[in-house]
Amino acid sequence: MKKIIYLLLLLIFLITGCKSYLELNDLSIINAIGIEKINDNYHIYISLINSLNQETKEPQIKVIQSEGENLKDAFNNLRLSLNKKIYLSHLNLLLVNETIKTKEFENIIKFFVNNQDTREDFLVCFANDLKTIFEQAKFQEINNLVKINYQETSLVTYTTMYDLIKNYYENKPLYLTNIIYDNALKVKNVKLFKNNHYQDLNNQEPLFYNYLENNIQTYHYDFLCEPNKFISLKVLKANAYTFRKELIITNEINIITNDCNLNKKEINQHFTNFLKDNLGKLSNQKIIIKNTLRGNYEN
Amino acid sequence: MKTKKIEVNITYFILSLAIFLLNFNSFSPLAIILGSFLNFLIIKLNEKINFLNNKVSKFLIFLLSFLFLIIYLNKLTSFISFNMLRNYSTILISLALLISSYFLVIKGYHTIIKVILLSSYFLLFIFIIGLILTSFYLDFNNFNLGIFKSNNLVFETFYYTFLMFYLYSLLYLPSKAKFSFQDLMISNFLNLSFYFFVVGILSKTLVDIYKYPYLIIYKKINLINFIDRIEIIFAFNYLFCFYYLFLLMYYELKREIKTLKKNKVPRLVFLILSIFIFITSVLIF
Repeated sequence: MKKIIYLLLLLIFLITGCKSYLELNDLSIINAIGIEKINDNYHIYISLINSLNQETKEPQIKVIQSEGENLKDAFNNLRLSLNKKIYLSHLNLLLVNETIKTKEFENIIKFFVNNQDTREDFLVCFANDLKTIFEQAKFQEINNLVKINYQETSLVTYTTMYDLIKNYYENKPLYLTNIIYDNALKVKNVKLFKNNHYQDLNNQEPLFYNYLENNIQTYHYDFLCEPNKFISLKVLKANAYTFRKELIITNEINIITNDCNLNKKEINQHFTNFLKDNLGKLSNQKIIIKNTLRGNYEN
Repeated sequence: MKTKKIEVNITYFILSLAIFLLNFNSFSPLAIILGSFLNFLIIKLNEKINFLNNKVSKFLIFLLSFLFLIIYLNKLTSFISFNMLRNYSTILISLALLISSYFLVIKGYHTIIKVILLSSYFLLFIFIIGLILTSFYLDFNNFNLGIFKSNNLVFETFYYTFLMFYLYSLLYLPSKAKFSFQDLMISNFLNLSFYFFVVGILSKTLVDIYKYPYLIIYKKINLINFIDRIEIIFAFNYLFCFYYLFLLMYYELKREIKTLKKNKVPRLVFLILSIFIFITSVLIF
């Protein structure tokens, strides 16, 4: 009996585990996907990390296009043109254009929710000319562009697949950063997807939407106190939450420059008015703003 | 060899999490709270009048175990197939599960409890590591009154009570172990806290969408980016918990058959029933 047990134990180490083993070279690692719908067909653009460039030692990126009646079909057709297994674990970016609306978003969400390979924390952006973007830009550039702008200015949104799924099922509007390629990669503005159509958010609007969504990172706010004299503030941290039907916003602010020598109370009042005026246009809730100002620029 | 009270308690602690997770989307937090108190009352009632020891109750538990085995064999198989072995046949996975359980169950109750206890330290360690790593992704905005929304509070409460009491009976019948208020409530508190934890990370909307939301939270871990598909480690952790639950249900089946008097009959009946469970589970689902 003991011999049989030892034999079985030995078999455990010998016959298990390696059946589904795949070499890295046999994987088509997809790092970005672009999806659009033309004549009821889904067109997908994928960016593959194919292999390393021997000279620059950077990954060579190959762009492939495929189409199908739904996303699954498009991916099945894609498989026919690849001699490697599709691998979505390293997906970092999803780009959509204005042909993607509620029905299409549902299809996309279902595809990703049922796909065990993907992590739903990848960035989702809007770009009208997907083909150009895929041919001209690298996904890492787009990711960095959005991330840094989001962290430094809060004027763009960093919408992940999780946000997309959540907002879709909660029937909330969706904010997507609009990327364009005009000789260089740029953030144009933020697109708001609401009631099955896209609308542009311009200038500082995304900042206030970020406040409402509690997505503020850091940003600079400058105002002219006298001709050619500025007060420059840096919002280091902001939080927004609803308590008893009131929208409460807390800001931690550093005073960077104070050319007019205003005291903290005056600066606070100005900044509070600025937020209240703009947020009041977007929200019906009563807004309470609590600022903590730091800096030695006062009389 | 007699099983100690603490051993049964730790087993209850692990298995209650397993049975809760296998039905994760079926309960609202209120149902868990109400269900845990109701469960405690029924357990105390049993300790007084011992209604679990009569023939009707035993037969009902036997029948339930039989049905649950069919359902849980499928649940366990789809869990393994969905998360780990997508390239393997589900029939093969079911068969492997049943055969391995068969040999462990034959060894007896004490062996099962010992196996659970031996791995419990490791399971809890991995569980706590998972909690620590995912706690960075807690979003307190996800905690709102919507969490407490329930489709049918009465049904959910009774379902939770029923599952927890069934688990209790699986442990009580072979060992006659008694549980104190704290022992029972710690398990329920863990279930409730873990529910809030998962909702806090994913939000109630996403919890309702995903098949295994308690595994999806681990996909967020970004600290150790170089390990691909880190959630598999945690999936294995849960798999063991689910497997132990399955083992205990299987043992209950064997224990009741053992009471048949003729010598060779019980093992044969047990074998036939096992084959029947396997075939039904494959055919129905």
